[in-house]
Formats: sequence, structure tokens, C-alpha cells
Amino acid sequence: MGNVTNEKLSETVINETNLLNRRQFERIDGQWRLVRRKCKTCGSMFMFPKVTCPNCLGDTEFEAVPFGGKGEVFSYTVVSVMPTGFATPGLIAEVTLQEGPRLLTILDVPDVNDKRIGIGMKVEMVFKPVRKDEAGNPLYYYVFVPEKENGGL
Amino acid sequence: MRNVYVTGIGMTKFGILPDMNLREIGETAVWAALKDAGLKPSDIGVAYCGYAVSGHIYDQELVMGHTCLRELGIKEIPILRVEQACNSGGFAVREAFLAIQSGFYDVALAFGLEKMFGRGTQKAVDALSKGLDTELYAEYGLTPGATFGLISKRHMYDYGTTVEQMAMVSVKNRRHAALNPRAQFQKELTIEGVLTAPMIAEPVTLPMCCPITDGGAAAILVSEDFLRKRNCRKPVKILASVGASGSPSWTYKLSSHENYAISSKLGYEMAGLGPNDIDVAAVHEPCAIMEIMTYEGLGFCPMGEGGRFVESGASSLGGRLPVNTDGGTLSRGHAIAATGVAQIGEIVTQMRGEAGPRQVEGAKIGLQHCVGGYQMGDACGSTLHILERSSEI
Repeated sequence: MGNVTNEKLSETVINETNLLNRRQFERIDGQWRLVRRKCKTCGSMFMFPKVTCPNCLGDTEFEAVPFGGKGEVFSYTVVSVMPTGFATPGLIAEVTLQEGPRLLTILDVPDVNDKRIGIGMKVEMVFKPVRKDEAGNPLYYYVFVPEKENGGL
Repeated sequence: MRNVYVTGIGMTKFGILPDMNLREIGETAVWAALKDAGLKPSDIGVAYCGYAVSGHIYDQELVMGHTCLRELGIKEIPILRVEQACNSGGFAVREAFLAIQSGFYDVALAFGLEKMFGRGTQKAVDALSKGLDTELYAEYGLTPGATFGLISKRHMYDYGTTVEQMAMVSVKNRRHAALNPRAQFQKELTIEGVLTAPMIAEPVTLPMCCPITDGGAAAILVSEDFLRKRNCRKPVKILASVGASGSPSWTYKLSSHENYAISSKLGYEMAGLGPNDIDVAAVHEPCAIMEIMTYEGLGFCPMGEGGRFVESGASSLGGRLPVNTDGGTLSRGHAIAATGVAQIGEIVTQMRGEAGPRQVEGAKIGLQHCVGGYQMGDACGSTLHILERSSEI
């Protein structure tokens, strides 16, 4: 995640209580990182903590390996009406991470109808406040944005 | 292994049923199936009730099956809820099949019911979203419509499928539904009308998505011994009844789902048949693209050819393999847990030769396939039944 603002956000603002779906993340070197779980027996990598490795099904231990946060769009769709609390229209995408797994995510772009959005577009992960808790405090999660090195949008 | 037959079917009209509550919807479908079979309530040995989303909508989460059956004279038997989202009804039929095939029971009831109208669209959509794993999907605002958009877009990218071909599924199923008085929608559509309708999730428009629906359906399954003893009416033999969970992975294809291959392999093996033997099929298409994927996954056409299959007219009434002759999920309607049972009802009707203007001439073998839930690139599970027109027993 070569985004300075994102790193600073991750270091100083995001904490255990305001990060959504906490089980997907680990705090590594002061940064919140989306992690793979690497099986110490067979080397396979998966998302989310598991009781066993879905590949070798052994009584194994896992190592948390951070994702680079880069990937490309595998499919996408502009959704006319999003659920309550989400920006409408919304741009939902399947992103293939550089490391292999596919993720459903929100693509955060200025214009969801931008013709440059397409399958194969390079994207990267950033944290942002996605909604508020009952007291009005922001809750953080990741979204994907067009990769800055490729010009962004 | 004992042979199993369907001898009674019943259903309510699918659509908006403001004058019926959940109990009445269930009672109506079950009573119709008993009458159709010519059986007494006390003949039923075990009952399986498909029930998925109405619990959330109408605050009646538990014991719905008992509520429907208690005053129909069906009591002092096991009554069990079966849930697998959109495929709850398919698995209710599968459980009824197993109960008889195993030798424990001679008569089993499978039914499904939902009431989705009457408490606001948002409540119904919230209930549907409970078919998605919240850990995986809740924070992205994923809706069923968004899933349809993502799958459609990728199928177009991988295979060159067009939006016109998707629209043809909607038009075809509506044309079939126009011949089915129990269907939710009967006004015919045009391709242009489908393409210019409100966008749900690009490229998917409203008529490419299933509606929400009130409705119930029931089927009564019996053993061959019972059939002979009681001289049951117009039995239809079940050649295959299979069910399986899907094959989730982190590197899914999106444009094809493994469950189709999993359940069709099991089903064709059990029946000793293949896709070329099927005369008529009822499949689950919550979105037009999923009917196209079903043609491919069940072997009706090669992978990637599903768009051209519908375009050729092969899946229309009068075509090589008519699919969803009752209008399917798109136009018969999708009363979630009733859908799988309603599909069995349509195939039984076709096997009996009683489908009237939508009858597939000379149909001898019919197939039902339904899927439910969605996780990591595949349906949570599917069921598949193959039914055969019976010579006189």
C-alpha cells in the first residue's frame, strides 16, 4: 500500500474498536494489514483464521502473511440501489489479489460510470471510514481504488 | 432400494396473496396435494417443510410446518423444517425421497411456503440478504442483484454472451408463464422492453431478476408397495434424487459454478441417463444469466454456449429441450422455499401430460434442478431430480 495517507490512517486512527470485520486483519509493524493465513504444514494460504487448513486438513498452525494490497478487477457492476448506509449508486467488484485469492469489494471512484473502469484494471487497497457507529463515530474498512502508479482515475 | 413415486402435487397461485397468511398458504398447497393424490391426511408418515425467509419478514421463525399441518389432520408424525435458502424446497423433496427409499415410511409430504409481500420491500430484501455469509459479504453492501451483475459481466467477458441473449431468457420464460394461470407474471415481454427496463446492477435489468413472491407448493411421495396397494393416481417415478453442497474456493471462476457439475453427475449416474435423454427441465434462474449457466453446467450445451442455446430456441416450448415451461423463477415467481417443490410439481404435470397449452409433446423424462445460497463462487448447495412418465402400474 504505497499510499502515505493510508499508512498514517492505519497507524494513528484505526484501532481494535473502529475497524470492521476485525478477523481479516493483523497489526504488523504498526500498520493494519489484510492478511492471508499460511498453513505451516503444507504452505497453502487462505483468508480468515481457521481451525484446520482447508487444503491439507491437518492439525496445523497458521502464520499471518500480509497482502501487498494490490490486485486487478476480475468483474464489476454498478449497483443502482445499495443497501441502507452505502453510497448509491455503488461500484461493486471482484478483485483478484496479486497473491491469488479473489475478494468481493467496493471500488471507490469519483464517477462509477467512468469508461476507463473495466476487467483487468489495476487497483490497490486503502482504508476509509465506511459508516458510523451508534454514537456517530466513524468505522473503518478497506475499499479498492485505481492504482496511483497507473494514473488512478 | 425401494422405488419412489410422486402421486400428489398442489400449489397456491404464486404472486401477491393479501388474503392468505402463512398458515393458509401452507394449508392450501398441502390440501391440494392430498386431494390430487386421493389420500387421507392420516396416510402421511412424515413431513418436511421448506421455509426460509418469511420467518424474518413475519416474525414466525420456528415451527411453521406444525402451524400449517396441525388442523389438517396431519399429526403425531415427525414434522421437520428444511432450510437451504432458495433450495429449501428442493431438499424437502430429497428428504421425503430418502424417508421412503430407506423403508421407514410409505408416504412422505414435502412442502414449502413463503409470504414475502405485506411488510415492505426492504424487509424482504433484508431477509434475502441472510442467504449470504455476513463475515464474507456484509461490509461490502452485497445484494443478490449485485451478485447477478458481477456474474453476468464475467460471463460476457469469458464467453461473449450478450445482453440480448440474457433478455431472451426473460422473454422466453414470460411467454411460458403466459400459459400458466398460477404464474405471478403473464404479460409478455419483448427484448427491447427488457433492455430498456430499470437497471438493477449493470448489465442486469429488472425483468432479468426474479420478483419477491407469496406462495406455497406441496408434493406427496409414496413407495411402490403403497402405490400398488392403494391404486394411487397417475404416479410419476423418481429415477434420481440427489443433493450436494457446492465447492467453494478462493479462486472461483464466477462465470461457472461447480454445483451444476456436482449434482448432475450424481443425478445422471443414479438415473443411468445423460443430458440428451432429458425432454423437459425446471431449473432455478433467480437471474437470467443463471439459466444460461445451468444449460452449460447440466450439459444441455457445451460450456460457454448457453447464450447461443437460448437464442437458437432450443429451450423454448417447441424446441429441443424446453426449460422452465411454467415460467421459471423469473415469471412463475420465487416464493423462496416453495420454488423447489413447485418445480417438481411442473415436471410431474408434464410427465402426466396434463400441462395443457404448455405441454411438451411426448415428454417422458423430466429434470428438476435448484440451487440455494452463495459463498465463495458457488451455490451453497443444489438438488437434482429426474422423473419418468410411468406406464400403468
